[in-house]
Amino acid sequence: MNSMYPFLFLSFFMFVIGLGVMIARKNIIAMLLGIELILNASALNFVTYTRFVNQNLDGHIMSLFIIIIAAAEAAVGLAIVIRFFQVRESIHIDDAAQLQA
Amino acid sequence: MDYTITTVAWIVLLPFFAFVINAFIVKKVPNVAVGISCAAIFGSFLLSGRIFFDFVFGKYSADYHVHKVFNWFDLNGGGQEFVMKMGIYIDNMTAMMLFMVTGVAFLIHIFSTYYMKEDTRYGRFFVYMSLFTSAMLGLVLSDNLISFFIFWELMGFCSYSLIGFYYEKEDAGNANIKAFMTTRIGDVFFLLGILAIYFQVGSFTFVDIYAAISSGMFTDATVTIFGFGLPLALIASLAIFMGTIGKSAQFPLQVWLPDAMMGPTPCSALIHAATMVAAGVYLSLRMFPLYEIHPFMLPFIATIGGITALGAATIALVQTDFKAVLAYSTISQLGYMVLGVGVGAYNAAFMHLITHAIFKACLFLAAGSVIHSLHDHHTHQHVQEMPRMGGLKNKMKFTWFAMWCCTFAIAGVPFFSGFVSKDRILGDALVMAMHNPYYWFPATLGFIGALLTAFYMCRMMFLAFHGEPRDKDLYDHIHEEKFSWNRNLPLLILALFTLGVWFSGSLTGQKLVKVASDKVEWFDTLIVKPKTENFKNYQKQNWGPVDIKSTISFPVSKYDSNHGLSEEEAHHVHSVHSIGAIASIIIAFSGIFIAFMMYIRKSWNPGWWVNTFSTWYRALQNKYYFDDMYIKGIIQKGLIPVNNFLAWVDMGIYDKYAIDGWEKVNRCAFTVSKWFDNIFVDTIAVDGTGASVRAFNVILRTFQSGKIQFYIIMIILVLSSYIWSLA
Amino acid sequence: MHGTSTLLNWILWTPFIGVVGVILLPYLFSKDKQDNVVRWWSLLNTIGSMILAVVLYMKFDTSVPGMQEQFAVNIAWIKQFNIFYSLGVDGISLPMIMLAALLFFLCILSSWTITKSVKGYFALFLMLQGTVYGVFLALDFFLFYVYWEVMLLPMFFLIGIWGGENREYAAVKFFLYTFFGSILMLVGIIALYYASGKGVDSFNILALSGGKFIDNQVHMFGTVWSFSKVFFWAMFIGFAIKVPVFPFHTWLPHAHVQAPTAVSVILAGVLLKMGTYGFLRIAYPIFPQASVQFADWIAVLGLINVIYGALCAMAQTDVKKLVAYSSVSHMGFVMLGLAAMTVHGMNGAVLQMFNHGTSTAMMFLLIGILYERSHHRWIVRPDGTKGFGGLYTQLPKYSIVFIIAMFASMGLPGLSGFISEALIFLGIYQKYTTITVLALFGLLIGAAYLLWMFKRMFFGEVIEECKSYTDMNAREIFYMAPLCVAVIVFGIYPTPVLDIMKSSVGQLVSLLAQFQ
Repeated sequence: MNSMYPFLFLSFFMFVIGLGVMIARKNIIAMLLGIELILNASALNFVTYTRFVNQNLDGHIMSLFIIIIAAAEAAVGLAIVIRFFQVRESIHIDDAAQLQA
Repeated sequence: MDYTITTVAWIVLLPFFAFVINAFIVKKVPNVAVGISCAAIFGSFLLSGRIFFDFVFGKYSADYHVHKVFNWFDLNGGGQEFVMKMGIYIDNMTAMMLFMVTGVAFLIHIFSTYYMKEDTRYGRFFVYMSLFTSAMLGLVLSDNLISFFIFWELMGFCSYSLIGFYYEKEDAGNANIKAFMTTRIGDVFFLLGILAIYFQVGSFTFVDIYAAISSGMFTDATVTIFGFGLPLALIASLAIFMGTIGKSAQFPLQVWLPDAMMGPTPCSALIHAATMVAAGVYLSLRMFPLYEIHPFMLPFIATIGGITALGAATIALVQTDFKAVLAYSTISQLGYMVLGVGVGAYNAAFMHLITHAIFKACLFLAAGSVIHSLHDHHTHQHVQEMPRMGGLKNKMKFTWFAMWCCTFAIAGVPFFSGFVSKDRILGDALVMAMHNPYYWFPATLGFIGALLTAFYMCRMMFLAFHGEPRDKDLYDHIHEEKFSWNRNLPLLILALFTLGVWFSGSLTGQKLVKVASDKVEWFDTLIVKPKTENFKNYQKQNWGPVDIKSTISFPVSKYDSNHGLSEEEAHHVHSVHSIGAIASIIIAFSGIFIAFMMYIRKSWNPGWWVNTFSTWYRALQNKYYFDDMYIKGIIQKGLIPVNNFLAWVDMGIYDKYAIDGWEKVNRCAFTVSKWFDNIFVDTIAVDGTGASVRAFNVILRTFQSGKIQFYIIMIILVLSSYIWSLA
Repeated sequence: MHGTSTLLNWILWTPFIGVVGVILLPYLFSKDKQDNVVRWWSLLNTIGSMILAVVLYMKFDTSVPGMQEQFAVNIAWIKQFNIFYSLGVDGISLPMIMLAALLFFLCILSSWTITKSVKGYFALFLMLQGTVYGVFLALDFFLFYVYWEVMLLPMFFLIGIWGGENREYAAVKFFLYTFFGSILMLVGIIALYYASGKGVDSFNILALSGGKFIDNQVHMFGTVWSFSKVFFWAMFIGFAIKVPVFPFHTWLPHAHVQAPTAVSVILAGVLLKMGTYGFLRIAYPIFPQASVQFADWIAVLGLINVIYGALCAMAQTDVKKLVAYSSVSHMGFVMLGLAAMTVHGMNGAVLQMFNHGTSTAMMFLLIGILYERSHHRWIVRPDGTKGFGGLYTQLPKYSIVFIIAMFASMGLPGLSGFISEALIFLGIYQKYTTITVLALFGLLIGAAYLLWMFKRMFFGEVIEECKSYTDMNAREIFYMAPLCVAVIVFGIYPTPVLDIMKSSVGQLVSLLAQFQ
C-alpha cells in the first residue's frame, strides 16, 4: 500500500457518484446522500494527501471537521426536507424552485 | 386800519368758519346755522366796509396798495429750495370788490331767509353760500395766481353743488355737470397760463408779474409746444383768458350759464349773475398788463366780448322763461365787460362789473320774489314761464318798482348806473375803432347788442308785469305783496344803488353834464390800469411780511379829465365819447320804444318777425345749436365712442390677446414640449432603457430557474471550463 | 450703521405677531366667540401698529436728509452672501408707513362683515401688512426682494378666496404679472451683486446708490451693452408693473374688481405705491444717469397713463372698474412727477402717492359700503337699465362723503389732490411743456368721468331697488372720518407731510441733478 493512487481513484469515484446523484436524482434525500458522498470523498482525499505528502495530522483533523459538518449538515438538511414535505407534501427537488411557500 | 394778514384774513375766515360750523350743525338746528351764516357775512361786510372807506375816502390814491405774504409751505431741504407763498393784495379794485361782494352777498343772504324758508334743505343752502362767499372773498384778496386759482375752483365747486341743489331732478345733475366741466375747460388752460408765467417770472404774485412785464421779460420770450416756438406772451395771455371765457361764460363756452339757473334763485343771483361769473372779468383786469403785450390779444378779447354780447342778447329775445332771459342778459353783460377789457376800457369794464353785479343781483332777487309767489296749485311747482304771467304789477308793487329800476339800468337809460358804465365801454370801443378799423367790428356788435338789451328787458317787464293776466287761475292765487324786511328790503336797497350818481359825478357818465367837482369822479380817479413800472423796484426784498406804516401820507391824486392825454387828443376823445353817449341814449330809448309798441300797444306783431325769420327764430330757440354741437356732436359722437373704443381695445384686444395671449403661447410651447417629452425623452430614452433591460431579462431568467440541479450543472460547466482554460 | 433703537423691528414684526395671535388665540375661546376674537385681536394689532407709526413720526428728525441713523437696524442674516437684515426709514418711506398703518387699521374695520373663513382672512391680511412694512423699511436689496415676493402670497389668497365671481382668474393674473416683474428685478439684484464685487455692501441699497455703475458693461446676445441702461430697464419694468404703468396695467382692473373691498383699498392705497417707491428708493439712486437719460420715456409713459386711464375710465359701467382705471390715471401723475426730477415734481410725486392713497382708499371703501347694500356695482347694467339712481336722496350722509372723496380724487383745490398735482405740473412744465399741455387734459377728463358717474348714480328720482338701502352706520362713519379729515387737512395745510419728505426728496433731486 505504498501508492496513494488507489485512494485517489476511490475518492474520485465517490465524488463523481455523489455529483451524479445530485444532478440526476430528483429526490431531495437522495441528493443529501449525494452530498454525503461528496463530503466523504473529500475527507478521504484529505487523509490520503496528509498520509502520503505532508506526513502530519492536518488532514486527519480536517476529516474530523468534515465528518462533524456532514453530520450537522445532514441534520439541518433533513430538518428542511421534513419541513418542506410538511408544506408541499413532496420531496421532489423541482417543487422547490421558488422561494415563497 | 392795521393791514396785517391776521386782521384782513377774517374777511375770508368768518364765512369759512361759518361754513365749517354749519356743516356739522345744519341737520340739527338749521335756523341757528342760517343765523351764523348771515352773522358771518355781516361781519365780513363790516370789515370790508372799513377797508373800502379807508381806501376810497381815506387814502384817495390810485397807486396805493397793501401786499402781505406768508409761507404756505416750502420744499427746502436736501440742497433744493422752493417756497409757496400766499398773501393778500389790496388795492382800490380789491377794496371795491370786497365791499360789493360782501354787500350783495349779505343782502342775498337776507333775501334767502325769505325765499328758502319752506325748502326742506333750508339750512344746507346757507352752508354752501357761506363757503361760496368765503371763496369769492379769498379770490378777491389773492395776491397771486395760485391762490386765485384755488378759490376760483372752490367757487366752481360751490356753483356745482348749488346748481345740483335740487338733486331729485335729473336735469339738475345734467346742468351742474355741464357747468362744472365747461368752466373746467377754461380752468385747465388757466392753470397752463399760470405755469407758463411762473417759469418766466419765477413767482406767482401779481406784483412780480407786473415787475417782470415792465422789465420786458415777456417781449421776446417763446414757449415750445408741439415743436412750435410760440410767443410766450400770447400763449400765457390766451391761456389765462380761456379761464375768463369759461368762468364768465363767454363765447364759445357760454353754454353752461343758462342751465345753471336750475339752482335756487338766490344762488343764481349771487353766483351766476353777480359775483362768480364776474370773477373771470376780474381776472382779466388783474392780468391786463399781460394782455397788452401781444398785439393780437386785445382785438381778440374785444371780438369775443362783442360776439358774446350780441349773441346772448339775440337768444334772450326769444326766451319765455323768466330766469332764462336774465341768464342770457347776464352772458350778454359779461360780454360787454370783456369787450371793455378788449378795448382797453379798464376803468369802465370794472365799473360795469360793479354796477352789473348790483342791478343783476337785484333783478334775480326780484325774479325770485315773483317766482316764489307764483305757485301752481295743480302741479305744486313754481311758475317761471312768462306766457302765464302778466299784470303782476298790481299784486307786487315793490318788486315791480325795484325791477324797473334795474331794467332801466341794464337798458342804459341815463341817470342809471348801467348807462354810466356800459356807455363808457361803448365810447371807448368807438375811440379804439377810430384808431384801428378792426375795432369797428366788436364796437358794432356792442351797439346792436345794446339795442336788443333794452328791447328784451322791456319785453320781459311788459310780459310779466303789465297787460292782462294770462293765467287767471294762477293770478288769483297770488297773495298781495306786503312789505317784509327780508323780501323787499334787499330789493329796494339794491335798487337804490342802480342810480348812476353813486358811480359818477356827471349824471350821464360822460362829463357832458357836470354837476359836481372832479373829486366826485372817484371811480375814474381810483381805478386805473396798474402801472407796471411802479412795481419795477418792488422786488424780492419785499417778500417777507412788510410793515406799512399807518401814518404814511398818501399822495392825493387829482382827477385828470383828459386821461393823461394832450389837450388836442383829449378833445378828440371827448367828442367821440359824446357821439357814443348820444348814440347809446338813442339806442336805449328805441329799444324800449319797440318793446312798448309790440307788447303794450300791440301795434307791431312779434309773430310777424317769428314767421318772417323762422330759420333765425329756430336757431335762437336752439341757442345757435351750440348745445347740440357740444353734446351730440363732440361728446356723444366723439368722446364717448372714443372712450368705448379705447376701453374695448384695452380689455377686449390688448388684455385679451396681448396679455392673456401669453397663455396661448404658453399652451403651444407646452404642447410642443409635451410632445418632445413624450416621444423622445419618455418613450425612446426612458422607456427604451426599460424595454432593453426587460429583453435582456428574458434571457437571464432562463438561467435563474430556481432548479438547483441546473445550477449545479452550470457550476460544473463554469468550473470545468475555467479549469480547462487554465490548462 | 449701528443703532440701538428697536422701533423699526417692532413696527415690522407687530403684524406677524398678530398673525400668530390670529392662529392661536381662537383655541382659547368657544366656537361661537372665535370670529369676534379674531376681529378684535386684529383691530388691536393694527391700532398698536398705528401707535408705533405715530411714535416713529414723533421721533423722526425732519431736518436730516436721507436715512435716519437713530432708527437703523443692521444684523447679518446670511453671512456667506453678505446679506443683511437691515432696516431704515427716511422721508420717502415714512409717509408710506404712516399711510399703510392708517389704511390697514381702517380696512380691518371695513372687513368686519367678512364671514367666510374669518381666521384665514385676518391672518392673511395682517401678514400682508407685515410684508408691506418690510418693503418700505428694508435697506438690504435681498430683504427687499423677499418681502416684495412674500407679499404676493397673501394677496393671491385674499383675492383668490374672498374675491368676486371671477376671482381665480384675477388672482392668477395678478400673481403672474407681478411675478414676471419681480423676476426682472431679481436679475437686476444678482447683476448688481456681481457688479459690486460680491463685497459686504453688495446688497446694501444705500451703498449701491449714487451712480457707481456708469462704466460697467454687460455682455448679452453677443453684444456689449451699458450695464446701467440694461438693468435700469429691468428694474423699471419690475416696478412699472406694480405702479402700473401702461402697457403693464391690465391686471389692475381685474384685480380691483374681483378683490374684496379691503383688499382693493390696500391694493390701490398702498401696493401701487410700492412701484413708485421702488423708483425713488432703488431705480433712481442706483442708476441716476440712466434715469436722467430715460426721463423722456418715463414722462411719455406717465402721460399715456394719465390720458389713457382717464379715457378708459369714462367708458366703464362698473363703478369699481371706473375707480380702478382712475388709479391708473392718477398714478400717471406720479410718473410725470418722477420724470420731472425737479424739486417740485418729485415732492409732488411723493405727496401724490400719499394723497392718492387716502382719496382712492375713500373711493374704494365707499364702493364697498354700497356693494354691501346692493350686491352689484353697475352704474348702467349691461341691458341698459340704471344700476343706481337717486342715491343722494336715499343716502344723504353717504353722498356727502362720496362728494368729498370724488372731489379730492379729481384734484379740487382745498382738498389734498390739488397740491400734489399742481406741484407735479410745476415740475414738468419746464422740461416737457407739450406733455404738460396734454396732461392737463387728463385733469379735465378726470373730472368728467367722476362727475358723470356721480350724476348717473346719485341724481334723479330714487329707483325702486335703491329704496331699501340704509345710510352709513356708525362703524362706517367712524372709519371714513379719518380719511375725510386727512383729505381736507392736507389739502389746506400740507406742511406736516411735506416736512417729512422734503429733505430726503431734495437730496435725491440733488443727486439726479448731478447727472442732468
